[in-house]
Order: sequence, then structure tokens, then C-alpha cells
Amino acid sequence: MRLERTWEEINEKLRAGSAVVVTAEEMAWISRSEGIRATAGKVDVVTTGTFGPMCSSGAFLNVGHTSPRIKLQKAWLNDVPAYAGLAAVDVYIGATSLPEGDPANSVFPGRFAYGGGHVIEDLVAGKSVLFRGEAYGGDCYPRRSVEAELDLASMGDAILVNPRNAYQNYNVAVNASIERPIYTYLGILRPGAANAGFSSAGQLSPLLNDPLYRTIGLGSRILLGGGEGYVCFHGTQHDPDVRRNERGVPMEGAGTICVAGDLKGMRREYVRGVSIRGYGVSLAVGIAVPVPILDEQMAAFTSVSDEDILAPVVDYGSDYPEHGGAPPLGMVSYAELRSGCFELRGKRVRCSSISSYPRARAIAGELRDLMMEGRFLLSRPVAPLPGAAGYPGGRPA
Amino acid sequence: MKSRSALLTFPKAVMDKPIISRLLKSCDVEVNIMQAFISPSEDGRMLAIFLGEEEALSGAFRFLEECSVAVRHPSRNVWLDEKSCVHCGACVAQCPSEALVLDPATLEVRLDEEKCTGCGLCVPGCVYGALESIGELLAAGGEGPVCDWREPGRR
Ligand code: SF4
Ligand code: SF4
Repeated sequence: MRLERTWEEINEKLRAGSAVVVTAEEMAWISRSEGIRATAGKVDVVTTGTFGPMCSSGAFLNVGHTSPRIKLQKAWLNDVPAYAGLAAVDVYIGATSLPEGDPANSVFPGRFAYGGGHVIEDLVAGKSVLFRGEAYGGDCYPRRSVEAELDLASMGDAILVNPRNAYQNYNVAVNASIERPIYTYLGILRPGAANAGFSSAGQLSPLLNDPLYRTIGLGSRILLGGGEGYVCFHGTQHDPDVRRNERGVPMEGAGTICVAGDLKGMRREYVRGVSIRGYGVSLAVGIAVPVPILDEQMAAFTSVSDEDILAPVVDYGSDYPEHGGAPPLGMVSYAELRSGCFELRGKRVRCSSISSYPRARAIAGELRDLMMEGRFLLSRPVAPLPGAAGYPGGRPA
Repeated sequence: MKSRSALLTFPKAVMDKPIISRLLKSCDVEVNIMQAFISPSEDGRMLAIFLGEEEALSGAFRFLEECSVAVRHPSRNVWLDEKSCVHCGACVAQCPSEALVLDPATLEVRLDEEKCTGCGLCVPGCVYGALESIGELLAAGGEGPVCDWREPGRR
């Protein structure tokens, strides 16, 4: 008999508290011992997770109207410039924005101690930040400047938006061509490809568990930064047409999602400013996405384990910065990466990630618990991601 | 005046005693608490910087030991802030002494104080601000907040 479940059936079970929900890591263990078919019969939902820096992040803040009113033209939070070219009191604080006068890389490698990502973390942690704004003034918005201590509770709205997140696979970086340590967003890389940096939750990562985007799409309800959020579009640089293995798993950076959520419901645990030496500041965000086990194929997809996912090793000393399309130096599996070292052209390379596997595991576990308690239901996408299987114009399922 | 950092462990049995205030009354030292983890269910831990003359300092450490507080002077030069660490493991590949290790089961990072040489190479590798060089903190005048970690970038 062919196993099939509908979204509605799974939600019914979730509401009744009788659904079986496991994390993607648990799914890989279960199906390894019981086989895909039996596991598909048992498990209703698999929760996936990821936690790592993603520069394409920021927050829209409505800082509230003043008396008299102001229409902001320039704005700063803790001296970090925010974009004010929106409406009167809406600003956008980007994760990589640096404070006025930051030495940046003038003494290389710069420290980048504080920036937009840290402002967002401070707000989530309940701290107040110094808001400054300037304006040219007008009849309905006469005021020309404002300065106030603001915290999240005192703001009208605060929406975290990541135009790109949850990258489906990514590069492993080494430095094979510069005779000094290089400072990249994947870490400090010593010469001679002595060490490597990577950033992916591998077998726990959302889009690696739904490689053909059959269930994750526009409108999927997710956990973002520990609170409720949604997939609102495909992410920037979303590229479904990359090389894939026989199971459809991409062998390099591929799909991405654009996500949004209420900053007021998030927790510092999953929203962290980062200071990347010699590179800049950014924001690390935790995301968890549920994947319904609609049929055996979804059970097979979510049973993916780190051994099955390969990532390209790229030279960040020359090939990456030059962007000339040079082939990767080699391929390595996430199982090897997770072990702390791998072999590249006969040489032992130590490796480490800048994303956190334990945090990804924790947020996937939180979503599993919420779903088991019937407190988080699936929302069926209203439109697919580009390149999704089973949709017109998409790939065959 | 000399300064020495010390890692103090308060056994559960003495947690209700005002040991630090007694110490300040009986010894001529200043104590700057850099970080403290105090909970009724666990041994308390505190990283503090002691300032005073050589003799007063050794008197203070003797006093603490008599109160059953374990005193360790980290030969190492780094401090791993457990509240900020996300266990990414980025520091592990920077450490030449294998003092930073990933627990293979939990994939969480541990700092083995015995193996740490205090070289400080791991500090710039941590993007989450969880590794701090104690030397740098001392050089900054030891102006850490009491019982909490510094706010990022506001030191
Ligand atoms: S690099 Fe920092 S956050 Fe990551 S494991 Fe090491 S101390 Fe923790
Ligand atoms: S200070 Fe040096 S030896 Fe100690 S943990 Fe850091 S890198 Fe390793």
C-alpha cells in the first residue's frame, strides 16, 4: 500500500496531540535502524534547524511618533547608522552596519566589536539603545532632531527580515594561495590550506531535508530567532539549478529562503551579533522549519545524514575573491567536517564551523516539542519556491 | 601594588557565608569580580582580579582556602564565557595545543585548562565574543562589570 498523508491529516493529529514528531537528526538514526518504509509509516513531521551568521539580515523598526512629529531622514542606534529612507518613523537596521568612526580594517585585521547585528541582539535581550534621528522638517513633520533611549517594548513594531537565510549547502573555505593567515567570514584561514572553515547544519539544515522544495515554500510557518516567523519569499541568490547527487541533494550552495518574524517574540539565545575579525559584523539567527512526511519520498529526503551531503572546498585565497569560476579543490562530506579534520589532496586539514550545530539541534528540538504539544501547526505554502518539484515549471518529483 | 587573577570555587556548603566581605575586612586587598556563577544547587564559581601588596595577596588567598574556597590561578590567559558561547567550534581549529576540544557526543566545546598555554590564538577566532584574553581585561584596567559579562563592544 502506498503511504500518503495530507497536510490536513497531519494538522489534525498535531491538534489531537497524537502526531509523531522527530528532529532531522533523530530521523536519520531511526530510518537507519528501521528502514525508510517503516519510518515513513511512523513519523508525521520532521523538524529541521540551523544557527549561523547570515549577513543578509536586518530589522524594520517603527520607533514611534514624537510630539511634535518628525519625518526621519537619518537615524542611528547606538551610533550605528540605520536606513531612514522609508516612512516618517520607520527605519531599517542592517546586520553589517558599522558605527560612525569605526576603524574597520584601517588596522588590519579589524576587530569589528560592535555593529548592526549587536544592536539587534541588544534589543532582543531587552536592553535599551540610544536612538538619534535627524530631519529637514516640513509642515506636517516640523521636528528636526530627536534623541531617546529606546527598548523593544517601547517601539511600535520590530520585524526581523532576512532576505537570504538557511542556505542549502555552502562552501568549505581554505587558504591555498596566500602566504599569511587570511580573515574571511568562514574564519581565520592559515596558509597552505592548514585549516578550513564551514557554516552549515548539514543533516539538520532545513533545505537539505527538502532538497526539491516539495514542502517548504512561501507561507511556511517556522521558528525564527526562537519566536514565530514565516518564509515570505525565495531568498536572494536562490539557485535551484546547481549540481546535485542522485538523491537530489545539492553539491554546493543552492536554495535560500527569505524569512520574517516579530523581533519582540525572539530570544537572545537565537539572535546574536557576531564580530568577524578582519571581515565585519553580522548576525547569527536560529531557524527551525517543520517538514511534513507526506509520503515515502519525504521520509527518504529527511533521513539524509551527514555522510550523504558533500560540500565543495574552495580557495578563499584566490578563487573565491576573484570569482572566476575555478573548479573546487575537492569535495568533503559533513560527516568528515564534523569530525574536526579531513583529507585534501593527501594532506590532513583541521576544520571548524562558524555556525553552531548544538544550537541548530536545540531549536529543532524546541520546534519538535511545540508540535508534539499541539502548539505549532503546519501551514501549507501558498506558492512554491522557484525550481520546486511537482509544480509547473519545476523539476519532476 | 600587584594584581593577580584567580578562579574561585565555592562549595555548596559555604554558599550562604559572606566570605568575600569578611575577606575584605580582614585583608588589605581590593577585589574586582569579573564574572560569577552563583546558584544554590551548584558550586559557585567566580573569576576575580585581586589587587594589593604581595603579602596581602597571599594572605587573602590563604584566608579563602581556610574558608574551603578552592583558589586557582589560571596559568592560561583566556576566559571562556559560558553565557555567550554557542559551541560553534570555530576556536578549536585555532588552538595549537588541543586545549579546546569538541565533545564528540554533544559537539560542545570544552577548554582544558591544563593543556592551555595561554597563547591567545583562539581569541580572535571566536566571533560570538565568548573568548576573552585575561591579559587584555587587566590591561583595560580591570573595569569589568560586577557579576555580569561586559556588553559587547562597550568596554
Ligand atoms: S569560537 Fe567562541 S562561541 Fe564558538 S565554541 Fe569557541 S568559544 Fe564558543
Ligand atoms: S590560549 Fe592558546 S592554548 Fe589556550 S585555548 Fe587559546 S589557543 Fe589554545
